[in-house]
Amino acid sequence: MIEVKRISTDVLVIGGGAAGMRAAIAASDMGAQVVLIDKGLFGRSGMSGTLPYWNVPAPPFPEDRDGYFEDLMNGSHGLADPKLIKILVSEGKDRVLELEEYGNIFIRDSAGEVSPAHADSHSKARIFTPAYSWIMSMQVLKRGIVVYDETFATRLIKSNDRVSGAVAFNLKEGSILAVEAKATVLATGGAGHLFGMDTRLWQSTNPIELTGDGYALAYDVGAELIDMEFNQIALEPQYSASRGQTYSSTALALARTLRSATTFQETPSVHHFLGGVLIDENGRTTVPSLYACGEVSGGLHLKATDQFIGCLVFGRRAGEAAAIEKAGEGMPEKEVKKEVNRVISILNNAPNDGVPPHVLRKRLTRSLWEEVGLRKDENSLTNALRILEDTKILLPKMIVRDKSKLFNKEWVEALETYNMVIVAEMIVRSSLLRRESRGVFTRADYPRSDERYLGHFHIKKVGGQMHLEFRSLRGPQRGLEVVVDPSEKVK
Amino acid sequence: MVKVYRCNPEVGEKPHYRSYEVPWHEGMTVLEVLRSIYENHEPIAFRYHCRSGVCGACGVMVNGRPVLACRTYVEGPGELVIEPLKNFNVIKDLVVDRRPMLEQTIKLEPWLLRGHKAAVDFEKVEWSLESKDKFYLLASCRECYLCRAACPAAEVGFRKPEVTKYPGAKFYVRDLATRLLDPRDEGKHTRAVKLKEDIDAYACTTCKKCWEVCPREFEVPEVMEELRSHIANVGLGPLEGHMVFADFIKKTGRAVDRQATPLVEQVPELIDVANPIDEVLFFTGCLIDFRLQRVGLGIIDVLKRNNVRVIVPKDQQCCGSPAIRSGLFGVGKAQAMKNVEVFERYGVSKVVMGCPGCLLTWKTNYPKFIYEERKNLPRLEVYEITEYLVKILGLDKINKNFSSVDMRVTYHDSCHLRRGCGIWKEPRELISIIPGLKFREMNEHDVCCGSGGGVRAGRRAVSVEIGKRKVDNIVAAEVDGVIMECPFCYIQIRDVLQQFHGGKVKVLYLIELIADAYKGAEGN
Repeated sequence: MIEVKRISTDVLVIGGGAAGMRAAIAASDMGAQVVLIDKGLFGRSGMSGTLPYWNVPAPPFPEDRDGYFEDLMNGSHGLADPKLIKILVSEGKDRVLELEEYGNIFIRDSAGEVSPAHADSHSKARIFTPAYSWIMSMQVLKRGIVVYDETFATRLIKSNDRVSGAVAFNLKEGSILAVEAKATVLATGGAGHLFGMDTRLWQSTNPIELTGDGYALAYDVGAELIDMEFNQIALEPQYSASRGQTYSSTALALARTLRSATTFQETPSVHHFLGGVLIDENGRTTVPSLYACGEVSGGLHLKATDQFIGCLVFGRRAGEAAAIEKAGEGMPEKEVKKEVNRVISILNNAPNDGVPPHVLRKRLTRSLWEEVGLRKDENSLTNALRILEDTKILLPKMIVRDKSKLFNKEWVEALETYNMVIVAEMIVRSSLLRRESRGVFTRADYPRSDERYLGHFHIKKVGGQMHLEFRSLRGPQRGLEVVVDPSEKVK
Repeated sequence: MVKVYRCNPEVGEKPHYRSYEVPWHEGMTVLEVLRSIYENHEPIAFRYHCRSGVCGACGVMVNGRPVLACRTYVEGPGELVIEPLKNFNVIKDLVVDRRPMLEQTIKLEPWLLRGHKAAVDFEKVEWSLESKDKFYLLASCRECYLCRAACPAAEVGFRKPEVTKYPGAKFYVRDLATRLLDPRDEGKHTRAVKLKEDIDAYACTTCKKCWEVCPREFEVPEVMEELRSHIANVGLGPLEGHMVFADFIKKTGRAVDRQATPLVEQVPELIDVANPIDEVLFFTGCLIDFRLQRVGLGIIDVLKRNNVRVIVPKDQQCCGSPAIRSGLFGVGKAQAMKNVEVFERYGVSKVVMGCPGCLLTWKTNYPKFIYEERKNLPRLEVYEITEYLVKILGLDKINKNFSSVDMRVTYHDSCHLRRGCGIWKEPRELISIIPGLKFREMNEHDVCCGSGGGVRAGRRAVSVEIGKRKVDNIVAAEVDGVIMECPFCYIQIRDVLQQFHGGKVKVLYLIELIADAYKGAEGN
């Protein structure tokens, strides 16, 4: 038997990176009771915890609001939502200056101005660096927010049409946590780890916890996702020495200065997801009481460099909006039990020809890296879809070799694999349908951009099936006629 | 062959080791070894996240040394023992419980403390570039807790929490030093109280074990001394035991009281030899001068037998180390000025000494102090006597007319000598040329004896606990004598050995042993 611990709170935040922490702080400052669930180690988890420090735009940018707006819109090749970008640009400065109040220190010149540096795809120098993940995590703890780290949310629970909490698995205790909440904020980050699960930084710069869980959780309760085919690839310095040579995964500037060093080698890696769960100005998803912010959210179409400011601005907005949600119906006991049983059944699954999760995951990630990651065309994507379908068939054969409940990483890997398969399908299907190259999305067989594709592929679960629908940004008449049959299977 | 610590309390499994065959390849990391066991043998529990040395999650002990698994290469197909980080409770296999660390961190309030509610006018805050750079460096701590796993004081804190609450270097460096560097922070007094009372800042022996394993290579002793200086500045330190030394220095210029005739009064200022090949100044140091005169006489004797002219300046004083280690920088600086002025008078550049504490102070603190005052550096080169014999005179050239010393011996590395000054080969080389000595390394030969950093003087109970671990290792090595090259270690190990093992093993000062071997040969 497994212990099921029940708690109830105003706001549940899932994810402990920059966006999740900012949302938790905002909700707590609004007077709400907050519980934060983090799959990694709190203060050091997610992409933001994995960086030595954060890249945030320099505070004086309002003088340059229009320029910043233009750069973000141009950088998205027309796909960013101007409503959201406008908010980002106007509130960004305050969010950045808050970081200084939290205890970070910015470099200012004698006039008190912050000196910024230049980043890719920006028309002028705007990026300023040293802010630290741990400093923000201290703000969370200072507020007495309850943090469960090394705890993995396995499913969102719905009461009628709204999300009323989540079921999570606490690794350290080997127990299950059922959190009932008036509002739930998803801040689970991206899914870079779908493209590689090596013990080195090959193929993905993301820490191992980024397996796209938030996309799958939101999809499962019927939320809409967009732009899932846009995955930013970065050139990453690969280290070769041990002690004293810790290079940040994104410290490209450093890599460039050291490029001459023979120990250095840059390799492409999947770095960042630009799409995700569709949100509005307050981080609301299309499902009531469910919010999203940071890399898991979609609509801002931000590249990695600008994502931090997105995390802070929309983390705060989502947290504040979540804090004022009215209480709805509680979590239905039946649904909680169903999820607990599903989680347990995955642990106890013992087919004769069982496959450990890492075998399935290796096959899936290799296929995604080789056929979807760096170079893709109709052929490779079709192949990837076929392997994906095979993997799906093998899911019931997945076996967890260690049957104990305490810190069972393999159990978590098995649960993650279900999410990875769903997210992989989103990526592959929308990549197949986008027959053009745009921004960070490139197709070898369609190397040019096609104005008919100026729009988003909206992904949603309809009747248990993945449904994709193209919505043009050029008006209903001039849009592309894309008819997608959700039941379409690649033979 | 890889041996891994296994333990699953959930199924009542006792801690044990299990061996796995893992094929080795060039450039393999420890993380790859663990993952290979996980995939190909059985799903052992271990943590890892970023795979690039930033998140600090994958700390484990490899062959007794704390490392980040993702940043550590396996050098060859030899045996590897992988264990969970020391000084932590184990959750399962290699996974340790980090929750108490987070709780401790919260207690230290490492956020901006503002006495009044007024917002900070950040644009007006004056920062020195130096402290800003330092802030960025210290704030980049990876929170991997390798420092805690390596620390002899934290080991005592974990084993006997009633003796010390010392939690490991991370809490001082990242949580408190960063905030004390920050001119906006108004919690200076609270932080001094926390430093002294809550986390026992005086229990650090400044042994640099943490520096050795830190992925950021933080100079922890330097930070620790600044923190202690902060405690002193707000009037809460140093401890009573430290004040004895500081008062002596201020009153007499020496750190300890006079019991027998000091060495400098026993010997003439100039000890000449017939055909000198070199000329050195001898800085005795208070302990050798006032307590271990035989060691000082040994140094002079060994130099004489190697045709080196020795000058023992009569006006030399305490190096200032006891004051500096406990945070009294002003007293230390005054001593530096006096000594450098006295030694520069002779026009001789080489200074030899037999005390690693003095040596470290001369090497690291003096240049800084002197530069602050004079804007130039001391015109003196300092050497430890064993370093001088091996590096300057040359191991092949020195006088080898030794008598045989029939003994089984081991060598204890003084922290200040090994990690402070990088001298650990030279003493071993000297031991190897003395006939009759049967040498064997003891377990944890480079772990602190517990006397450094003012811990013996200020926090005796902690010092004895650290010392106990040391002498247990010495006794376990089954030797007749333990050799060392440091008066602090000598006195500490002698006392603690007496206390726990009744002086079962002879405590030997290396340079004195060499002098005796020369004398023995003369007698034959």
